[in-house]
Amino acid sequence: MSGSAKGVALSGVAKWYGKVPAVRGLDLEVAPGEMVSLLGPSGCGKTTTLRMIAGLEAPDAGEIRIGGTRANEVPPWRRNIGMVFQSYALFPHKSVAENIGYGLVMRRLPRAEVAARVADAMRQVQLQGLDERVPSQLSGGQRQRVALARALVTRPDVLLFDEPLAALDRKLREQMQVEIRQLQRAVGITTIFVTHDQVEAMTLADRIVVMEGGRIVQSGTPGEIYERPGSHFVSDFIGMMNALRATVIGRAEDGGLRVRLEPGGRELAVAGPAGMAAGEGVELMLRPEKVRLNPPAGAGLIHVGGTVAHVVYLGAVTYLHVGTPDGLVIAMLPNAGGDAAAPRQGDAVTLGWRAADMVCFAPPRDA
Amino acid sequence: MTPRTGRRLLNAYVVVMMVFLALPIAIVIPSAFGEGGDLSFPPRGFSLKWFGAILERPELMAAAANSAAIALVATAVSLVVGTLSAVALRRYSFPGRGALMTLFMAPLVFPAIVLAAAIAMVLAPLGLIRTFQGLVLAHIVVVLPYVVRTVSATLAEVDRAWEEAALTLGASPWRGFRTITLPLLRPGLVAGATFSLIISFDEFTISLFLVGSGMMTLPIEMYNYAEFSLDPTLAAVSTLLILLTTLAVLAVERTVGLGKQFS
Amino acid sequence: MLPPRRRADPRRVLAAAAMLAPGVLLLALILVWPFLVMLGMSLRERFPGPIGPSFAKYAEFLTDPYLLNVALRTFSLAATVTLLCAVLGYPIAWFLARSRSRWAHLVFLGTIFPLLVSIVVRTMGWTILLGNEGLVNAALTGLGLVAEPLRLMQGFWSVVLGMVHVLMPFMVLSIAAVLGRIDVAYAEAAATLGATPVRNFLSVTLPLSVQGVAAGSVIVFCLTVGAFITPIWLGRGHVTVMAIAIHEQMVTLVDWPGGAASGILLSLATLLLLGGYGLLLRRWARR
Repeated sequence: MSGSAKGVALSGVAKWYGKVPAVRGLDLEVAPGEMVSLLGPSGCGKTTTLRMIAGLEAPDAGEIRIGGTRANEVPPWRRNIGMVFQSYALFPHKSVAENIGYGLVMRRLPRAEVAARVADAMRQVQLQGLDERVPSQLSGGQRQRVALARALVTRPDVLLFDEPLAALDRKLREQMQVEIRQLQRAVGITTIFVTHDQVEAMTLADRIVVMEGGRIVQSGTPGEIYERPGSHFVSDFIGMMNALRATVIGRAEDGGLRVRLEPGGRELAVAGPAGMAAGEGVELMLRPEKVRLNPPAGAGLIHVGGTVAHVVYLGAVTYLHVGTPDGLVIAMLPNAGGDAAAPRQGDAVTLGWRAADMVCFAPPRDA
Repeated sequence: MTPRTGRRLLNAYVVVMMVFLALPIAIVIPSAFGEGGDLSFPPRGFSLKWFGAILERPELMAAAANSAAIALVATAVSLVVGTLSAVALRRYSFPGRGALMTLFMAPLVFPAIVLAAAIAMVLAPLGLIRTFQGLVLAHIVVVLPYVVRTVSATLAEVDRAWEEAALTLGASPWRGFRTITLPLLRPGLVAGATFSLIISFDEFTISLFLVGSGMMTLPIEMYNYAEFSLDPTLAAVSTLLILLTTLAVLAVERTVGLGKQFS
Repeated sequence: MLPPRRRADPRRVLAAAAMLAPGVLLLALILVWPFLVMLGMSLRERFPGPIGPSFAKYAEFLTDPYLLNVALRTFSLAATVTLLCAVLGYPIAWFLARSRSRWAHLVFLGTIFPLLVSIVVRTMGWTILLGNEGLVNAALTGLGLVAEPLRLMQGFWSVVLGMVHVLMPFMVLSIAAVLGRIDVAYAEAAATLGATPVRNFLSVTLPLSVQGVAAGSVIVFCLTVGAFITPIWLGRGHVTVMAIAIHEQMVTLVDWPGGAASGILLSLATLLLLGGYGLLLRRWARR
């Protein structure tokens, strides 16, 4: 039931801690019912942004609107939000049922209704029978669910997660990711979560907002972010990448750029950002899974020959680190099984990829 | 020297030190049960008459009642004031916070004699010497640092995330304090109250300047008594005091634990 | 974009002020005001008399050999007590912080116990132990080691004994708190690098625990410097410290300005010590 799903809008939001800007001029719109991830390295301002939406921190500039209404002056206890903290913050002196019911008690609902809704919530997150337990008696996964139930039972307008799954081990994390996603879809609540784990962002989010240095660097669906990163930072943060250096030598006929790979010297035509002049350095990004091993000639691919420097076997896939005249290229090969033996260190191989699979952007500043 | 020997030596040393710390106190107890009229050790005979002798000393009983009343009032006030102050000092940041914290802790290390003389100088013209109110005021100042310290230490254990979670769940800061912070502060409050009661009851130096006939506290009454004779009545009173203190500390230790309260 | 001028949230400021008001008011009335009155008294030449200000009494103090001697004795007493507490208390703190024995709890209680017993009771105990008819003397004469009972309760060292007895808990708890926070892994790493237990302790654990020793030392020193009752009773008049001199001046000689001046000087010494320690703490924290 998504009756009260509300959108969240930030415009020009900024926050300083002393002289240090944590968030600079942020503009963000989250549609009702959307699940958005704020993704970035520590210190990028994502947690500060989340806390400002919650009302736990006050922005120094800009406006925060929840459901279209300005929320800057509204204190957290009147914003009707649900928040799951990184440490879960379950009240240690209250039982599971009391924890979950706390928000309802604060809203002064009659006891019978509190009990009913708490029971409902516990069923929703599969915690039946644990009413009287105390947080210290629960496992990590169970505490997660209690925190989730506690935040949801009040039927908030917005659900906020601060690194929700960081404390769980991998198997549990993957399981919870699926459950949270299903729950969010069923309830249809606008959700914003903060994470530094790109896998988590890709798994859970409808839209990923990548942040760095207090600013939004790129915003888009997981597919957009992964396939078309706008900068070295974004492409490096999500997934693995190959970075080849090149110099612009001019414009191509189709509007793209002609570049010359360094150090190899080979010339290519790639789609590139506007406004790049001849002589400028660029970076060509290539995802390892787009690289094919020993492809047949003439398939419209760029071919590069090289020697295998290193092989990393990971069960489902194998990474080949190949030294080529244009630099190190890492190829990811699925181990579908039944093939001839994978290449070994020292083997000479040919790699191939489509020019269209390369993304071109300015090199990182401190390169 | 193997670690085992090292540990044995340490244990032995600790035992010796424990005896050193306990002996001067424990040694008073046997004398309370002796037959003879002096404080020699070991006591001769066995008798409970000295405990009965206490009841024949109305001045001791009155002083004990005063001390108890003063301790209770001073503790009650300190608990409220101390908790508010500790929370304000820990949860809000403002310029001068460190200095203010030092001010609250100052009575602990300030030379007692200076404090005693100064307070007497101020209370005398106000007519508060030899009064219950004067003693209570002085005792509050002595006892407040203990409450502030134990509550502060306990507050440090209260994760801010819990308080923030309460905010996001719809609790105003005051309701959050009442339902989340305060219950979690209980151990600190109990420990602080216990120390406060005991310290106030045993207070000597400042009370010395503020008591007089008609308003005496037990330690000073005992001191006056000792000037005349060091008879086992005092040992009996001491034994009772030691017993009460031990019970109180054990009770607090059992129910809320004292471990973190003292840092 | 520059940071805006920070206007503190009036709600929070009001809340903090309201919470602090009772405490600050109380302390202002019963701590700060008396101190100021004492300060004023110390700046008079005599009482009753002209208001002053006059530094006559301070000058008197600094030129009076008796009082200077007393000050010296006070500080040497404090130094001795502090040193003994540190050396004797460190192993106990170690035990409390490191031992996993179930007796640790009892040891903790036993350590703070002297604090919670009245000075009168403690003095009675010392009298029974060290008095002329006390336990120690009874044992010594009984064993024939001395002909006459020793006068054990009237010297510098009986006062030291009494002060160490009551102030040890402060030192032990300060050190134990810091020791408890030192990761055992440091000593373990040193051991794997070849440090013998003694060198390990001296080069790794001891330096890391210095803050605890310093904190405890400051408390013990300040408390000894201000001690009144214990020197009187366990020194039987032979150990005059500052507190006793002040009492003499105020009560016996009825020289309130003089006593006030001595008191202010004593307080200043304490404040300087605390302030110096505070600065040291901040310097350490910055490292």
